[in-house]
Amino acid sequence: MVSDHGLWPSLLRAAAAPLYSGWQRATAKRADQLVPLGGARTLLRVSASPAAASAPRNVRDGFLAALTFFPSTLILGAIFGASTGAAGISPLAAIGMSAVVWSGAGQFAALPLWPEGGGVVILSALALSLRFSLITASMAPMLVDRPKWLRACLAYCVTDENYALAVTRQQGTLEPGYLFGSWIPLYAAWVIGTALGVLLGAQVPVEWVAPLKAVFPLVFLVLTVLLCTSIPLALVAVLGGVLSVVGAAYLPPGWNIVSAGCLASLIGLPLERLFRRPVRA
Amino acid sequence: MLIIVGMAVAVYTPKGLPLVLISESLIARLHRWLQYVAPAVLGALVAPSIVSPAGRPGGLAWDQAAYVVAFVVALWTRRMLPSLAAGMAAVIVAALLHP
Repeated sequence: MVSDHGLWPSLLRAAAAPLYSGWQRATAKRADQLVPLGGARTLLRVSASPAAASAPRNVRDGFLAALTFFPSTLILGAIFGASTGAAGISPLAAIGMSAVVWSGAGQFAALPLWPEGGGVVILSALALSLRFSLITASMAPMLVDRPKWLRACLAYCVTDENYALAVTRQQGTLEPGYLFGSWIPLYAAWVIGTALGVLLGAQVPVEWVAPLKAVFPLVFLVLTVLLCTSIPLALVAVLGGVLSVVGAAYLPPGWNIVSAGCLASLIGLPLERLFRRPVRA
Repeated sequence: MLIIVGMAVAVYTPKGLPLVLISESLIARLHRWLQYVAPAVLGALVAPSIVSPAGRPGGLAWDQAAYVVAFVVALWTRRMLPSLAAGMAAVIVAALLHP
């Protein structure tokens, strides 16, 4: 998927070189100060040392991997942009919203709620974003040796797509550069798409949209399969899916993912014990 | 404008708090549980859109055949690109056969 040659990598490297040196300094400094840490020890070692050596490479890898999502995110952004006019959101506010809020689900939910006023819109955005707490909490062990400001910046860059890419890329490690690199096309596609939608008005052809809609579930499905390298992991993923589908019928949007994620992840450790026992005996 | 800023804060807060606040000692204890959060959340994210494709409500959803194709290829090859290519090819075939 990632080629060593091409226009994009060199462009990217040239454009962002000053940024990486600061990044490298930040990550390299922390690598010597690692405190041994029970179960997470090996994990931290692994994630800390190669990052300092190859941050630009990680940014490039992340960028290229997330390009998969560029066309579909662009279209989705255009659909959002085209729908804002009818919802009573001004063109400038629509583009500004995509640039600042940067949340697909949260912004689509805002469309019908916009006339109801700010409180409802903000609450629904919060409800739809609660799943990110689980997502970033699961990333935290892999980033605990990084400086706080870096973690705070990375948190903004996290979304479903690049989270899925980042955790499946290498078991147990997560490179800040990779996350940042994969954020760029996703962010650009969403903002550009919104602007296009606002400018072009209503008419995005429906025939284009239906196949593109399949891209998101498709990529997520493949990533989920690749992440499940053991039976307990696979069972947890299946249970999460089942609970989420059941929850979607009864809970407000967003909550089904949070509750399914919480509940399903809890059975991971009991399952692990269950599957380990026969091996020991 | 205030609403947009409020939304931005509402979206960012759940992302940022765990990542910034979780400390080393807490991590050591939570780590074994947290490794199961990733598959649980991914499963929860993907399942609803596969069970009920948003594109065509009612009728036979041919897109779902593409998910099956991608799933099988992913299980078989354990590689991202062949699975995605097979899945997308199936989506395109499905779209052509069943417009």
